[in-house]
Amino acid sequence: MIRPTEEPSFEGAVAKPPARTLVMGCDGGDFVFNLYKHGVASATQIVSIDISETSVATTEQYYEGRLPEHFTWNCMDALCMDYAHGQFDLVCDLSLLDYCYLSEDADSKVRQLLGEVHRVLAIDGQALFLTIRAPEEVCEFLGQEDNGDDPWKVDFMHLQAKCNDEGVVEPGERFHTVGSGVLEGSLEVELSMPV
Amino acid sequence: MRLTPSVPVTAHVGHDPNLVKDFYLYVFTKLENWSDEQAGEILCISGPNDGLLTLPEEVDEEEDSYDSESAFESESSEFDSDYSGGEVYDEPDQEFYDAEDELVHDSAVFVVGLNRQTAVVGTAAAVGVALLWVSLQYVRSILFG
Repeated sequence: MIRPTEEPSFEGAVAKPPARTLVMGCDGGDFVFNLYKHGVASATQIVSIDISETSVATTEQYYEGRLPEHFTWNCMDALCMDYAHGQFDLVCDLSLLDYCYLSEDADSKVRQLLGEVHRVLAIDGQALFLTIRAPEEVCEFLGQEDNGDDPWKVDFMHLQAKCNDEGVVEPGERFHTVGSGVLEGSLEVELSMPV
Repeated sequence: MRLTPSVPVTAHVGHDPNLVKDFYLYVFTKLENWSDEQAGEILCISGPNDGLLTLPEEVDEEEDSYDSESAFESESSEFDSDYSGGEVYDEPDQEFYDAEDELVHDSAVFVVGLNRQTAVVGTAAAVGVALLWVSLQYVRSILFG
């Protein structure tokens, strides 16, 4: 649904080079292959999952011999993963969050997804979500303890497509950053970088 | 951590790219003072499908990291080198391997190992008794003709 189409790079977005990376929704494998080309190739383990057996089999067959052996593909439901607690340093999601928002029981699905991602991440591990959901929507699912402890620290960057004079998006054009901020688990949102 | 404004993420929307022009890249960092159990409680605090979050009730880190397959192979080869004969315990009981639970699987390896060791000890004991019986018969024939 939402796919980086050229040279996605998270350099600067990730605190440290991840040793163990999980990619959720690997359909087609293009994004994973781009990760390999752009900075995550040093990872000792890159696991890609998709809920479609056909997609996983096709992708695995296509990239056989084109990617190092530490790139593996598994058929798995991201809402109910088999991985152990704290198994990954980085989780990349390209569209699952949006699919969850569009499902009938969106509230439950989003919470499940965030909960599972939180579970499989190591302490200080990071998860990247590229989504059309604004910070106000995401904040609802962060949760906050009475003592102020939060499960996550959430940084975000607002990306905007290039539009023509009539305000219509020009497909394929590079997105540019129009703001960024930090969600502290509450509803406080601050766009610190205006256009 | 600070996000730089130059992260070159390019995106498109599958069916109708003209409808969406705003995207957000979120970087969630798991905080140190939170346990997974706490996160499960908070993130599943409401919703029609509470409890679907698959947090194991009890997690044993050593158990999680235990590779039953490799353990079985190494243990099997170890027993194979020690075991010198017999067919009874060459193959583990299939019923153990029909179970999906890894704990049962691992227990099966342990049981098979015990059985193989028992077989070795039993065989050695039987041979020893037989040799003792032959020796006694030989001594008896010498003494009493």
